[in-house]
Amino acid sequence: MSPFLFLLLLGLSVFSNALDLKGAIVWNQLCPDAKTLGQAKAILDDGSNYYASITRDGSFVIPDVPKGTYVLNIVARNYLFDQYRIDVVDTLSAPEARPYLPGTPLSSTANSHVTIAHPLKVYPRFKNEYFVPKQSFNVMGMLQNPMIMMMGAVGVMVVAMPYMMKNLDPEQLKEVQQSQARMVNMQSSITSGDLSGIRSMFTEGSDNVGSSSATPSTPVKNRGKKKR
Amino acid sequence: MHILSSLWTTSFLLFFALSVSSVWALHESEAGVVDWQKTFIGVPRTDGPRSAPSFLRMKAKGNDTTSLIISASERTLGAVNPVDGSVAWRHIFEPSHPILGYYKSGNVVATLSGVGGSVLHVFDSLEGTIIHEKRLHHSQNGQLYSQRTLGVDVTFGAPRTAGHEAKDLFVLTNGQTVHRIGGTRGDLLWSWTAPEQTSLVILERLTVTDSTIYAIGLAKSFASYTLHVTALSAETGELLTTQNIPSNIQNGSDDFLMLFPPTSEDPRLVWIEKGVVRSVALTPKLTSKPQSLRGSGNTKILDVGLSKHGMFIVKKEDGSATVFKLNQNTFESIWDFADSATSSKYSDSIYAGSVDKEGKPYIGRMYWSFGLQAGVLHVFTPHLLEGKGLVSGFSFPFKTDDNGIINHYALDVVNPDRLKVLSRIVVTTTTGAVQLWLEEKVQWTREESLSTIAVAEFVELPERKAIQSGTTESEGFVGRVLRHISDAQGFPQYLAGFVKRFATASYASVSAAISHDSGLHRDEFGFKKIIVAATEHGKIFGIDSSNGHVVWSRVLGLGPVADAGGLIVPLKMFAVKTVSDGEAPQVVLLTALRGFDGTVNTVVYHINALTGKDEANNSPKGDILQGTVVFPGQPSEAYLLPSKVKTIILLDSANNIHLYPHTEANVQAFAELAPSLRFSLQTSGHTLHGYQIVQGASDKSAFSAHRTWSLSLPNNEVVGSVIRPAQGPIASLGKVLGDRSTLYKYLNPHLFAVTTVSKASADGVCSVYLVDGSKGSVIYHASVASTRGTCNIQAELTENWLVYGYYDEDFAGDHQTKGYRIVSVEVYEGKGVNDKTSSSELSSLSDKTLDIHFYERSFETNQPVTALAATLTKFGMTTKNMIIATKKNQIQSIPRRLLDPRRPKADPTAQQQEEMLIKYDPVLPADPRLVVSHRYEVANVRKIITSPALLESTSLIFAYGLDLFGSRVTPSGTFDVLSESFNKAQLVLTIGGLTLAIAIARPMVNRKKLKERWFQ
Repeated sequence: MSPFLFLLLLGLSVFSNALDLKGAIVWNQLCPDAKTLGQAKAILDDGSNYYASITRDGSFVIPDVPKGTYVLNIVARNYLFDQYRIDVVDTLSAPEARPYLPGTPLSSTANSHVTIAHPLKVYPRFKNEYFVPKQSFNVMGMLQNPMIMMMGAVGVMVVAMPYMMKNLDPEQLKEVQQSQARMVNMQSSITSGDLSGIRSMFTEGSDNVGSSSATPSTPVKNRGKKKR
Repeated sequence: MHILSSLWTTSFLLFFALSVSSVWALHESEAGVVDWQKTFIGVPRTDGPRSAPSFLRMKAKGNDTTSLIISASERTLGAVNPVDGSVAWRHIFEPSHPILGYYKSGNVVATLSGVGGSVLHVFDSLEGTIIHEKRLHHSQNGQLYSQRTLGVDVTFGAPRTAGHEAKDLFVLTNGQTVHRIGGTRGDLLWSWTAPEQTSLVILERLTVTDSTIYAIGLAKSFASYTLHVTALSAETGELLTTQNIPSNIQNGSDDFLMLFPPTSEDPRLVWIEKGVVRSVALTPKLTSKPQSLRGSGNTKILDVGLSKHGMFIVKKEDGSATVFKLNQNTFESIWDFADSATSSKYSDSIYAGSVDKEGKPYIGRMYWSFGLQAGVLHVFTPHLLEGKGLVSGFSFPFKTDDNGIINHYALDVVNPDRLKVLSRIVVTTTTGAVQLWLEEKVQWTREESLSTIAVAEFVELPERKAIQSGTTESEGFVGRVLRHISDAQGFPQYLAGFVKRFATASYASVSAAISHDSGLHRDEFGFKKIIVAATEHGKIFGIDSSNGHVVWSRVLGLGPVADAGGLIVPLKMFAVKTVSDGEAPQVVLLTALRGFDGTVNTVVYHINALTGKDEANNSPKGDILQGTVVFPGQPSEAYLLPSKVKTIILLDSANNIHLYPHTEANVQAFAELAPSLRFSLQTSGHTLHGYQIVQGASDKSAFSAHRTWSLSLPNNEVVGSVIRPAQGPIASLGKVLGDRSTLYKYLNPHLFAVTTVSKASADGVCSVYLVDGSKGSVIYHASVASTRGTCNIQAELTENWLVYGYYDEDFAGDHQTKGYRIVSVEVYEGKGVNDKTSSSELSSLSDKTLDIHFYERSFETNQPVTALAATLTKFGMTTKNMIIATKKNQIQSIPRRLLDPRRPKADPTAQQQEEMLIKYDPVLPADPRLVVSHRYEVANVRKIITSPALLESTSLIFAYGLDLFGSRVTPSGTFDVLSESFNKAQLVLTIGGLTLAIAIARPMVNRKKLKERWFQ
């Protein structure tokens, strides 16, 4: 009996500071099986000491993990998995696993109440999309271009303006003519580089009708005459 | 769970939204057009039957059988389709767990890897997925024997329960422990370890019957070995008997083999002892008496893998071989291979066995015939001619100049007709090629040595010469007319091409494939270059950078150690002549030639980069490429002289300088430059030395290096790698900031980076240094805590920008976390903005070289970096991206904007926005669109090299490791060609629309004008 007990104790002492971390990938629509996943492994930290391959049924066993805090990551080329903080507290109880968001301090996860049962279940979260779709030509897209729409609007205005003018009230027409004249005036002063002209225009504002009508532009005048 | 996933999603979406504007990515249609990838399985190890290529026949869907070639290299188990040579599947092992051997049984392949066989893998041989992974012992408890593959074996037992297909595995590890692993669940059923006192016995082979498992070992005795057999119960692992068999084995495991005679229950152990073949039947009680085969003068027994058929080969002293078969309890000689004795007319024969679909055995004998200059294969078919046996054979034109010598072959035979035997063989050669021959025709060749590239270099191709017509002075009128007519023949084609180009949008586009009918000429944008790559298996390749095809290849000659044999270690490669020199581009490969006789020579191979032709004229035409011995001994360093005359400076261990090519003009040019040359090299573990060149006092053509400075690093650090900045043009000396002030880049041409590895096993420190190579002063230093004694710092230096990556394990602090870090450092002149010291032109002796300041930012990434390189463009104006290879076996291009060390921690101000700076985020995004290798797997990348194309926007990249990958990247977008979003149809439609509008509006305007005139 005693040698047996001794052996038992020996066995315990050998394995008391490490345990096996078990887990499995749960296949979903993103990744239905191991063949689609390709060669993948589960690693703790940088994977130099503790790692395991993902087997055909998705399971993995990382053997002999000693006490400590680790980050579990699944390394697969085309898929992205959640990461977990793993705490091996002692070997008699199962390791504690908590979700861990990369880039956040590891300590912030320690008090998280969300713990995950051991053996872990790990889900593929994203399938990597490496490509951007090519921009293809479509007529609607071209027509929705603001430049094209503006051009269209201008074209419509050119055709429709005379008719609109015809139907306008004479009072309103006068107002429109005035504002148009002011615009033209401003444009001409910008092109001539006379900024004071613009300033005076803004300061004089709408009340000083006389000064603005002193320099009416000819095309508007012509059009106005024609309509009468 | 739900919270987490939603967090993930938000962070992801946020990131995508942020980055979408700054990301340049591939289109799906460009995959495989602008890039290429080649998959390799590594050079098969042929030192044992457990790793060399072999045919495996297995059940596919239904009742069909299919076969694959299974092969194991140092770290890769691969399955190759014998029909076309493509890789069906492969599995890459960890560096700490090299493959010891693979063991196959129909639909499963098992491997043992790691020290003493610490891990067992069981693969599905059809798909390559892992069925079981079982760690049998910790690597630290592994036993190291003189031969790595000693003391491990796997054998497949009978299924435990009838009807269940998965066979149990019996696994021998460490030379002393036997395990039984359940085939269905992969669980450990029992395990038995040899008691301590028999530790002088190394168990080597397992043999299993229904009830008993025999472990055959060798017990070391005086000057020889004694066979030792242990019988265990297959069911419980209980020890039945253990016994030494009176024997005297000289050559270890080569001298014994196991046979399973089809007629008998008990396996038989056969061994050779003092020229006599002896055997004993193994029974659970081990009571049988050994018996001897009549005849002596035998030297060798060969296991050809036909133990289930009771067949093996016995070689006599003269080299002649006889096939023996065990019938009941007697051995029968069934065939003598004619003329198999050692002769000067042909090489030693290699024997291999094969079993066909029906389970009939065959034995092949292959040798090289010096007379025929061809390989010859004889296949012995025992069951033909009413059991008398038949030998059929053929010779095959194997090219030794291209592929070296055949190391190993595996045989696969079909017997479609009564007297017809068709055979195919897969040969493995000394240059690392794997070839499949179907009778005398080669079906495919896999150049597996390309997975062992040591050095590689991009070489620019020459422009296509314009075709000159014969415009001679004496050309008459008729002659000229005829010439014009002949020239005009191409006109319709040109016209058609012109119209087509005008009508459709087929322009030379960056994303278009490069036509390959033009031969070795530069394409329009300079995307096509030659990559000259020297491998560790004595072969050098010229690879087309646009599609990865091998353009030429040469076997390197062993020169002075041709008889003794040796290893060519490629050290560096220099482009000594480029296209701009007006000649065919040439490269010089510098190697250390290590002979097996213990000699070391420095040998250079001078090669035409376009054809692989020997430019030094050492080698006869059509023969292998011979090099030039520069000096005996190992070179300590070599540089290409930065001058017009491209000369290579080589330093031997005594610091004497040798020049190659050693011509009068080169010596003259070097003598002029010598006083101003400074260089540095690492001599002992933690010391760097700087040197100056001194001309010999008496002999003016002799130069030597004289030490000017020494830099001692801390004792517990050893220099890991020295990174010299990529050679490329520097477009601007400074960076203009948003407030119109300038930061001047620190561009000391002597600057280089040093990474160190820790010598102490625990809590060691590794470092990154920036060193001024002219004086040995340290410009920048960062210490990195090692991870359990190892640190794997990868660094790249370009212009004034240093980027390095490492793993940080320390998370003790408040805001710390474990993870991979990438640190980006930029060094600028002076104390701040507008402080210019002209570092690029500064004398090395000036004290202003240390007048610097730098910016630094650290980023976290989940991508462990295995290699990194900065992009290189023609004028250096394009932003430099970092190309990194990750452990996910992908190549990524990280935009400079993300790695900018001046990224502000607060929201960027208007001025910073003007500089296109984005807010600092400690996490580098794992955006899959940054992955330039997209769906390709590019495994175990060791190095990435970059090269400029003719287009300023584009940089060519080539990554090599186990796989090869070539692509082109445009860090700032393709700003110098018509953008791909340019839409010809849209342009044409717009112009058409405008024309139409004018056509409609013109009569209207005319009418109006007319009316105006009329009514005025």
